[in-house]
Amino acid sequence: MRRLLLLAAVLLSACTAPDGPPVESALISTMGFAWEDEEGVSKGFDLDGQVTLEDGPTGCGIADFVHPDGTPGIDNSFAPILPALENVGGDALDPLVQESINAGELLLLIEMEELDDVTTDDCVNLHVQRAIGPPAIGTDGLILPGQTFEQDLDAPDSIVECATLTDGVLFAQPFNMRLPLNIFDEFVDFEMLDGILDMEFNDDGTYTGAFAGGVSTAELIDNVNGLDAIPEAIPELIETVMDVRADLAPTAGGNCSRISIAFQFEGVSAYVFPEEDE
Amino acid sequence: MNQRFLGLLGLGALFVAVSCRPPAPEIEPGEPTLRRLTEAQYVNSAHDLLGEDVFVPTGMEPDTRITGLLALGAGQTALSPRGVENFEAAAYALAEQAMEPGRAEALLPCSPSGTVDAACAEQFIEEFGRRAWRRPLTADEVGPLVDVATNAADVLESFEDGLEFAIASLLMAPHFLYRTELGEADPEGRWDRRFSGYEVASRLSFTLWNTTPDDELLDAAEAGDLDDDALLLAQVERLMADPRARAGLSAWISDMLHLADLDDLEKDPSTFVYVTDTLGQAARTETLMGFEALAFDDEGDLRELATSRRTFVDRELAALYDLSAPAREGFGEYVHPDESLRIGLLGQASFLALNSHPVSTSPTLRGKFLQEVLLCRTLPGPPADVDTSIPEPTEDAPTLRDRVLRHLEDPACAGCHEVMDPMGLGLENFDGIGRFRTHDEGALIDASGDLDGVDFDGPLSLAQAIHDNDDFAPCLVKTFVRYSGGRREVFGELEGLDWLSGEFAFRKHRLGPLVENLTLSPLFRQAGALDVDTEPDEGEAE
Repeated sequence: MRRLLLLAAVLLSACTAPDGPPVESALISTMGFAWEDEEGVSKGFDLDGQVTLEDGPTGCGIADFVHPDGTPGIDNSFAPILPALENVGGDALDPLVQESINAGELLLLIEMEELDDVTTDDCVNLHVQRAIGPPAIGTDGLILPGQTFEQDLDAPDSIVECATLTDGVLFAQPFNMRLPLNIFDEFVDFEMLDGILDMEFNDDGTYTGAFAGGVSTAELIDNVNGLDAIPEAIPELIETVMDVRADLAPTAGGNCSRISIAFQFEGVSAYVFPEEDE
Repeated sequence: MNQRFLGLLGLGALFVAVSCRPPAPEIEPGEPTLRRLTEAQYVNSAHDLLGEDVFVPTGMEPDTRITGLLALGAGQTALSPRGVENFEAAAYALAEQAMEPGRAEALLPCSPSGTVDAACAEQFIEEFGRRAWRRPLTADEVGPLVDVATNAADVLESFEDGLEFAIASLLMAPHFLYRTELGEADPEGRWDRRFSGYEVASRLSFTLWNTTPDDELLDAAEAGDLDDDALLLAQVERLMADPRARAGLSAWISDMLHLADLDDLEKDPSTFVYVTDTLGQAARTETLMGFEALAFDDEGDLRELATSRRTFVDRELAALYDLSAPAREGFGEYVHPDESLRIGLLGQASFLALNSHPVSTSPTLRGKFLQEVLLCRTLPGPPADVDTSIPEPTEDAPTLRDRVLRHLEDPACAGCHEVMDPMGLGLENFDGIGRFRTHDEGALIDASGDLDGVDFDGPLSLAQAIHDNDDFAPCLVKTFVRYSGGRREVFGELEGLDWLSGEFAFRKHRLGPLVENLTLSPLFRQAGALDVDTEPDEGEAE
């Protein structure tokens, strides 16, 4: 019954762009790194299609995690670094990310085109893009659902054609995205490559999901080194751990050039202003 | 040729139809009231007299709602000693601004020849005084004010500083603060008493613009034009065509719907996450923009206030209503789709939030408002010692509908709640600030009921039932007449009200014809005797 109501709500609220397909949009309202829940357990995805054991022949020998649901091969090599980053930086990471979202500095819109059914749809075009804030914040401190946002046409976006929706869970691969994250009051660009995004449609109209991908260690080191206002120890820490934690995109020399990073998020319904005519 | 003939035939038929309308019946008007300017009228008048850029103090004396309208309270409440002091202080503050360099030159009709220039002061006082008091000042009134201005100028060694005292005197005088529309013996013998030309000008201006008359209207009064039907109609048309009529007549709707109360909206933030400091103001703007569009842009049927799918929302309201904002900045027009249960006033946050409790909806408050304000029915308040609390939700009785049944089971409560609660329950799909919902405490909402024997199954059919109800349009008329006249109708005016309602229906329930019919009728122009007591029995007037 609830599924039917949700379907009705989606069909009613789906806005039709002029001369375009029906579009359903979600805004990521809360987001944070996927942490290591307990030893060896983390949310995320199997990005390289391999289950890597410690010192094993694949994944540069960086052991994969097991998902809380028991799925092996989860690539999230950045997760063990997070506690060290917090210790060195002296601040909690996820609240900084959330502050950025609430301040409108990191508004991610997920537009789903050709969405015919919120339970099963074999081809949904996905467009992830930045929105311009600030958003309205509810009395509970969270972004209010149902807001209309302006697209940030100057920011990089991400398009996945024919994502699939199965049992109310959207799955998109490959998923590439560049997002600037606030790390200790400085924004660091994360360009996530060959990633995966999933997103579940909840009965109350919200969304729950995760995305992950590989970030070039060289680029990450460069970006962090270019920051002025972060604690001095951070670039050193990043450079050190990138060498030992990179787990994706092995080179001919046997080293890995990317590190897997996973995020989890919750989303709310949103609308997008149509692009203005020039 | 045939088409032209048919067109002429149609025009002829229309002329016959209009000219065959029954004339306004004779009435026996009630006693005129002395009305203090409402706060909005005070502010608007001060701006019209001194300029839009002056700062006008507010909050001198709270407006009081009586019989549902602030306009009626203005005619029945006394001014407190504190209020007198506040108005005096405000008058001096306005006078000081009036004589500031730059503004003084614009206001003065003459250049003072020196520090003391009695002739120039007199000319200013006569011209400014006529606008402020909405009638010419008598020589006995002008003389002392000129003395005040010249004596003060002599002491303060400044013409403008001296004139400040005269301006302050004018603005703290009862002739400015009160609308003294008390009538005069009718020199033409049409009625026993009538409102004078200046009083008609004031009634017109405050009814249609919610502010003091402009010079053209006062000139028309001086020339006697407002005693002539055709010339009065010309002035009505002029005022209605002026942009000020939109804000002016919106003040009627705002008063009727209690929209001023949105400034003090109290909602529990832990219950309603969408509550903000600006929600009340946005909700009021939505309702008033909808009224203006319907009444002025469309010249539409005012009953569509209940059923119009078109509305105006900003980004905040769009989020509350879960719809795509039509405008990046400010308010934009939005048409609710046919599938939406949000329709007309009954789907707007203004009405829904005002008539709810801080932590929940209230079918009783919503139903009471619809019965009293939209259908003009009188409902008694609850007995003093009655327990009005609603039981907490239980597994067996989760929804508010289940719980308010208690009202209907208690014979002491049922008499009124049978009238109020079913209408309010028809709007349970909207929470205490107007957000749509399908469930209450986890249970599916049943929004069915009936209004005067007409069944409804939710907000849409309830809105339609109100639109079609025989009492709705006459209630709009009655409220407008009360708002315009500043008092309740008396028995001798009921036939006039019925006639006005009939003409309102005949002219497709449009605002323009309603204004014309009212302002040309005895209901607007004929004054009652000052010492009669013609208040009807409650039932007769209602």
